[in-house]
Amino acid sequence: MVEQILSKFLFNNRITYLLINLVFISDVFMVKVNGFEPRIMVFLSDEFRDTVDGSTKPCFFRAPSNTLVTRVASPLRIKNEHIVKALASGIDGVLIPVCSKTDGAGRVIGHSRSSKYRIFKRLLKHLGFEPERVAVKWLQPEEQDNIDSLVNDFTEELRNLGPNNITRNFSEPVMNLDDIIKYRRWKPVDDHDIGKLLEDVKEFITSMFKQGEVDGVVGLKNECGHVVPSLFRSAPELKNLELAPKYMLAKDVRAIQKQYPDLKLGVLAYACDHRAILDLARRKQVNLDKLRMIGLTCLPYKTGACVCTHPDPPKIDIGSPTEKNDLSAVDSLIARFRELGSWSAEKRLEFWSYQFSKCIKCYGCRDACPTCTCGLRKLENEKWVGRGRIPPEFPTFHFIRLMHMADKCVGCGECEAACPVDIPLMLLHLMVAEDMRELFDYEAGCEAAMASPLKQTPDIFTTEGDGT
Amino acid sequence: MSFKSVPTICPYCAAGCGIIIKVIDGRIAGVVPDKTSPVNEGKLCIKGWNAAVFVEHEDRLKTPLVRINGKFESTDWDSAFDLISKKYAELQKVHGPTSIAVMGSGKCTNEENYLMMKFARAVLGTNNIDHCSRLCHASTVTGLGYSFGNGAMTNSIPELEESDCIFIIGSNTMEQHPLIARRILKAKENGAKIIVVDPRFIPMARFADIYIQSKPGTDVPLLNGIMNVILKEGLEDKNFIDTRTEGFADFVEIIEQYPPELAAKIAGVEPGSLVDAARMFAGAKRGNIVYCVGITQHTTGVDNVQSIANLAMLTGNIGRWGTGVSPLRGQINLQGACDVGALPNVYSGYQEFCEIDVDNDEVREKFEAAWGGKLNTAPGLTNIEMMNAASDGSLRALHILGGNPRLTDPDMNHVKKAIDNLEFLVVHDIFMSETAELADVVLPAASFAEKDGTLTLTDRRVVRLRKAIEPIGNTKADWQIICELARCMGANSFNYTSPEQVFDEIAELTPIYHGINYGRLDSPEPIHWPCPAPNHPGTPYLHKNEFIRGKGNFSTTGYLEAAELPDDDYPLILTTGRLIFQYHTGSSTRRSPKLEQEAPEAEIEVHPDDAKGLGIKNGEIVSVKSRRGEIEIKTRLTTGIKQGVVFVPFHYGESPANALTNFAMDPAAKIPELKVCAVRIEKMK
Repeated sequence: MVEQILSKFLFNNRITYLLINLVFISDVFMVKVNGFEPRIMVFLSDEFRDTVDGSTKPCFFRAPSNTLVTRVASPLRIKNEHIVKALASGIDGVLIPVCSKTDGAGRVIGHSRSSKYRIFKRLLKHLGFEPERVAVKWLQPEEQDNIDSLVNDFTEELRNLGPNNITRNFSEPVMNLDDIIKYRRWKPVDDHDIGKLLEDVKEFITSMFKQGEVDGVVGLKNECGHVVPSLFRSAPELKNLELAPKYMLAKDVRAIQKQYPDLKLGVLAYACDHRAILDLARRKQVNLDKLRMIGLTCLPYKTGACVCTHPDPPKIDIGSPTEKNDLSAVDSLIARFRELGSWSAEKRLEFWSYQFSKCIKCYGCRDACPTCTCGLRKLENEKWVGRGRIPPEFPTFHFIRLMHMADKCVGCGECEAACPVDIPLMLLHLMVAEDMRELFDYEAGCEAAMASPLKQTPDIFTTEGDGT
Repeated sequence: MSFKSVPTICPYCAAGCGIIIKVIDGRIAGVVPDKTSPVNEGKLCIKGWNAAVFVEHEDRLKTPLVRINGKFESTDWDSAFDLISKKYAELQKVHGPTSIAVMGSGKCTNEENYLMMKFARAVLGTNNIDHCSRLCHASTVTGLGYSFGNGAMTNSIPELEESDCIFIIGSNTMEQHPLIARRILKAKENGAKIIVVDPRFIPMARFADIYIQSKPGTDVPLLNGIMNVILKEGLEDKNFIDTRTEGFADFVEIIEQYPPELAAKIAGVEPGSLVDAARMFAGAKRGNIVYCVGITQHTTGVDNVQSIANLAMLTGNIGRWGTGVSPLRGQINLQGACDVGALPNVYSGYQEFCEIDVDNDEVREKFEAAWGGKLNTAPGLTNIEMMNAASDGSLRALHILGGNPRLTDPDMNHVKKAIDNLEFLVVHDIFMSETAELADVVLPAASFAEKDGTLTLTDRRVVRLRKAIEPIGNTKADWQIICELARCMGANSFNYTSPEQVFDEIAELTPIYHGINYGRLDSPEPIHWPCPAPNHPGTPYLHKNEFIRGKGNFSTTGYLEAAELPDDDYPLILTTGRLIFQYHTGSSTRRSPKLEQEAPEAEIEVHPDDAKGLGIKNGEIVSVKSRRGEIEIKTRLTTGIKQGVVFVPFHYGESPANALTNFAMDPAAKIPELKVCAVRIEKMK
């Protein structure tokens, strides 16, 4: 017990101290041999042990001059944030040797990479870091003397890969995103189809009130010329009902249910509201038994604005299903997003470095999100992100949020809509959503009962699996 | 059970972003950005997201407080009003009405500032009314008034996005007006050029095509140097100068004395950068000059502003869409407080009643007729003059509407002495401030979320503030407090039942607001004054075919040194400012946990080379001294600040920057020099 606490204490202090000072030290230990000498951080686990005079202690390792060693009690203690912070400070590569062995009882002590790790690597790639900069190598205990050669091999690999470009200062936008960003601007649309839809909605809800199906319906209301979320308690109140611009209603439903758990509540839900509410229900934040979701198909001009690929809720109460050709605008925008995927790592890094250097740390991307209800306090933790400075450290701040959102993002676009400096966050969210589908066949907000594939603990390593 | 959302305005900077306050059962449940607001378009900065956190804070003042034997005791409203009215009546009788002064507030609504000035003029009988814009943009009102005929931002905020060169000087736009900075970034991404001049490498400097790190207090020679290059290379807009301006010949004479080499030497910059900036700005089709208090808070504040006006006229960048001069106001309703006449020399809408030699009887008679009674014709005292008058005993009572001059005014030791010397001090506030602690009566006011009213934002846009919740505890909205106090003093023209009635009176008496009413403001469509008629769409940019004063006036502004320059005893220049996470004296932001945790303590920014000479390390607590006071503060070493200059934010009562700053004033605008004074740093013993 004491040992556990001690090792935790040591680990936390060691690693935080090292990471914090990395920026300052990194210049000192950079040795230039033939132009570029990669700087490496090795997370060395105490699982590798030396036996001296019959007792064991963490193995001795003499680090070459280009290598910084961070000792960790166990790989389970390494969080993705540690690695990101190392890369953020300009380290060219991170190497994690992991001890893989079977104990007397036939139990695999070696740790497997978690599913989070797979998303983590993808995210690194999207932001412009070559995934090869982070390497996990398995070693049998008797091979521990090979750590030297592991480091040498890794150094050689990085030498071929070139330096971590994060140390460079990018201050120009790589591409003009106006055609992508402009769509987010809401302009009132004078469309008689909307007028018709609005009447249908009012009629639908009026009859729900009449039959006593609901005590109140959450929807959008015209309040002094502004459109705002509101709760309608009776049919006459519906005269001020509005359908746009969109405000995500999931968190309002949650707040009302929290205070009035027994209220028979209805909510006027577009497909994105629907997904967000289902995702909240998956995490027991919303009670679906007391909620009637009134499914609404999306307004065509809004679908384009949100780059939404599935604008229809599973059950449509009002409106007709969106036809495939209505989505052509969306498809062309998504093609534009794909462009980014084909860029070189350096160009991607340049692009995102510029975009995130605009960040003024409003936390709006977090606060506007309809599915993140935890407050993501990690972003405010000084251990990861320095306080009181803008822009926040790139990519740590945004990386933490993107990792957190990987299994929760329902693609509503509210984070980007709320961004005061127009960072195209949806580009990243769409790419991660695609990864989630590809790797785990998972889509946030699709089915309330579905468990997230990223629910593994502790972080990028797990004790489950086959030790790879 | 009720859930509603109220569209209103963020109470912090003068960009005036639309926010929506969510209310569940009469309690605030959160804030989200308003997507229909033309300024922020559904986006906010961190202060906006946390705008309503302080409203229900436990520190809120809830009942009127009266000082009895040196201690505050709770009382009811009637006895508080009774006490104040008796005291004011007595002072009026014994020492004359000018022994009382009133301060309006950039945090309160147009209606409240109008009532405050009506109270001063019609009830107390004094023109001693001023407010905190004296401390930030008095030079703008005076300077641009002289050059263009009007002291307001010439254009609207969204226009900035369509400029193709933006010249930013003395404004930390990304931190102080983030949603205006957004427009500048968007302009950049559309290909516009950005020029930044600032002693600190501010966040916007990273996006600048040209960044010039000038020495504080050298803006006039720097701008003159740039204009010298423009003239020498023939880049000026000759047609604009010929047809729209006057005084050009005298102006050229002065400018010729500032070749870029000389200007650059004074400002401590490279001459080449001035040449580049001149070519870039003069080459723009639509240029805009953005500035803030880095320009105005100097003894040469008016000269600085006029130099900016000169540059705009020289390049023909005024009176067209996307061009202009953009002074960014600090507080949400500074523009409005000026507009409705909380100033010692004008009534609402800048209607002068006492021009230098002649009394403007017509204007005064209009107000006398509307208010019913004779009005005082002598101009009143400005903010800083009030403090001086309090020190020498000629001012006996001060009535402050939501302000904290003890922290915001320069040379706080002097201010404290002045306030202590007063016989009677009344403060309206929502929290116990450093100034309220010295008051005889403290009146607990309702916050922005608890009242209706209008605000006028930095780009002259008039917007509606809407009540989201009932006033907390036994508080009252300021407009109610003023009306009840006035009635208690026997006034019969204060029988308003709603702010709307007050606004109608303002619109009636004020030509620039004449066409605005509450009905029109119930729409996200922006209305910028001047709006002379109910069917007039408002005026997004001013001076279209003609300047308000007729012809634009070139000023002859030469270099004058700051009032206090560094010397052997005090070798560093101190400049002050704000951080994105805090606001002014922090009475709201420091009670908002998410804001406070980002920047919980004051730090002085020092260049590492200066620190090396002094033997100070990063994070060390040091003592900073000026001729007026000293503070203890933590150091932060940064290469982002010009060598020889140090920076202290003025949010922190425990390390108050204004214990150090200088009381010296601009002779015309009476604005104090908060941006330059000489200090030295000493290691703690």
